[in-house]
Amino acid sequence: MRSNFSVQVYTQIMLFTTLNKLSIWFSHHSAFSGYFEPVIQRVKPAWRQGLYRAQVLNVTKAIGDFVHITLQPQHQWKAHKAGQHIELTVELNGRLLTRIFTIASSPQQYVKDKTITLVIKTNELGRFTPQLADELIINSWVNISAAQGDFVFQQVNKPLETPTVMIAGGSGITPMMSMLSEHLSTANNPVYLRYIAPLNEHQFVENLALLAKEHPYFTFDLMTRSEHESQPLTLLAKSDVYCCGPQGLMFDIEALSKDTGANFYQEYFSLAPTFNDDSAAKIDITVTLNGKVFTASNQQNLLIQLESQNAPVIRGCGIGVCHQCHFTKKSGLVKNLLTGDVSDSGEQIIQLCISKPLSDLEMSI
Amino acid sequence: MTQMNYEQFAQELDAIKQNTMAKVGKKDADYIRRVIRWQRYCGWTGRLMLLTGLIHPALWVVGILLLATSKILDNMEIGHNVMHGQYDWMNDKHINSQSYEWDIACDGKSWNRVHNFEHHTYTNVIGKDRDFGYGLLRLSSDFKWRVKNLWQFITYINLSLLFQWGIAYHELAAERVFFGKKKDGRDQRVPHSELKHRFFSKASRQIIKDYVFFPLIAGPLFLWVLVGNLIANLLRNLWTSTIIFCGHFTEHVHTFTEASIENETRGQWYYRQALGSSNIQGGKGFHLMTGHLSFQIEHHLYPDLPSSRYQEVAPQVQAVFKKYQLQYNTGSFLTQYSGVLKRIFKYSLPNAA
Repeated sequence: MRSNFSVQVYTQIMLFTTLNKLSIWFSHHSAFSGYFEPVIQRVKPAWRQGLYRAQVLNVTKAIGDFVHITLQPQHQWKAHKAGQHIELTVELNGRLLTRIFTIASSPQQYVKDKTITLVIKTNELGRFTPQLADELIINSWVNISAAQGDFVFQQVNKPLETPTVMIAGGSGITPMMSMLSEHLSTANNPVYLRYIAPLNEHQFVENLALLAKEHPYFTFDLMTRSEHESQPLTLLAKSDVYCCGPQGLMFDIEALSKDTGANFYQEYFSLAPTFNDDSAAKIDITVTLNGKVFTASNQQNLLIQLESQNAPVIRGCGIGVCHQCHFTKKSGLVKNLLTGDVSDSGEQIIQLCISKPLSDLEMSI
Repeated sequence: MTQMNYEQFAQELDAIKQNTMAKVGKKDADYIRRVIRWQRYCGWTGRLMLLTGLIHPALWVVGILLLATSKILDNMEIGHNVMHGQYDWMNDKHINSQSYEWDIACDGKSWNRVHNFEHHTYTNVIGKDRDFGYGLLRLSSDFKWRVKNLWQFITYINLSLLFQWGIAYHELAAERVFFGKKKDGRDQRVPHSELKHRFFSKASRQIIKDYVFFPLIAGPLFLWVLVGNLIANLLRNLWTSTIIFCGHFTEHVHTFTEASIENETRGQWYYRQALGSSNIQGGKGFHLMTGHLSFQIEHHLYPDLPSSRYQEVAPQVQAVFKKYQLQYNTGSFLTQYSGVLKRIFKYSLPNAA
């Protein structure tokens, strides 16, 4: 039986390797599925090689410019661990835009009804989030990646006197919500959540109240930033401290945890980069190119600046015509010097000779 | 030439591009995916129909035509345009200028350097744009006459038949990788070893695909498939070569000297693109099959504007040309092609002025 099974697996692997080799040689795509992608999309909308599909079941606007999106991933998608995030790819007016979001719902919910929920703060200036609420049509399809990330609940028995403390800032509530819904029923020590957000922008207020009612060991405070600052936290040694929010908040809590000897766990999320498009004001910018760090400013195009530091860039026409100097920008903002357009902050191909950086950039060939 | 306001000319042409790019979106993404789908349908139906030659030879002929159509769509409307970066804004993993590789002997990376950079930047600048005559044909009086130009019509026919090999070898010929004296002062952008490796790697895969792999899996129909693939490749070569020759070598296109492009402004660059290119009139299907190179003028003004928009911008470009009294070089296929032939014959002889 066993040997039969491995022969089967082996044949399957051999078959796929051969097919992919043939695809690379003859169809110039890493797999035939990529070569046939537009054809497959006729049958399965938004089908993309290497990504999962998910159907939009519900989109609701919530207070504080938040959008709650319920998705039903295709059944091959593996349940996340509470606290993990996914990459969400949506086609908005022909453009595929990708952003990372933490799943706010629990793995239990996924097991129960095969859905996951994202809670997204919309940023008026962004290219992605403001359009989500209006352009995501119920029953349309989007793409998601496998769940990833190691900001997850530590499943160890903790003594009663060392409470678990969670500090969430703004949309940093999402991983906490997922962890609370998943793990409160099995937690054997007190859990306290401090949720900091502008007045009337707290999400899940009813759900939190319900959880507190069901689980006497769970307490929470909804605070504004000034309330949080006027009521300093006290932590106990060996407590588990989870923090997700703006960088400043996480720095403070990390320092506090260190001082008291608590275990600190954090999830970093980057807000949409802010930029100043006034070229009179010189901004120093860091450009990471295939892992190597270069410096730049918003005063000149990227090609000239990177060339002067002997970065591995290729010069072509220098006037935005030939696309020899293009690079894949992973994150950050650039301004197109020909059109004056400011780019999206996500991944896209840019031409260095006509791009001026406006924020820190991460790029790869 | 009367004094022309190049700056204003550039602004007006820039405005057309900006207004059009602002409209680019889902419609254009759907368009290129639709073309890719039809390319796949034609190609695979064609390859299957090559096997039905035993039932009736006419089916085999249809198979060849479908396969040739699919190769033309892949090279012209999809490959050439996607590799220009026209669809990079879609952020699609497969449909972009960094990853697209086409079904032709020429290595895509080499094409990007020679075509997108050299040809599109230095269009019709004698000595800089090797596409002007491909180093084989004398197509203007800027070139010294040589005896071999007497039979350059035959050379042209051979180039057309073997067109995919001509463009595959184009960069290696310019770089004197195999033959000829190495030119001094020419900086090697890419090591010759890499040029050679990529040339042989792509070429051998293309040969193995059409003349070994597919014929072999056809078993007893080996020859039907082999000959079918050969004819389909020839048809593609003839078609692409013919269309491309109509883009720059028609009767009235201008050539430029290296000195004339020193410190060239954007307006002057536009001006050179405008006079160095020529369009072909035709229907929608014709434009599709030429990869919209029938809008060569618009393509040269805006190489990275999605091909799905060339038909739309053409009247606007024509209006600007009229305003500046520039010749908008267009005509029927027959007019333009006979212009090409005239040019080839005219400069065969030494006394052409």
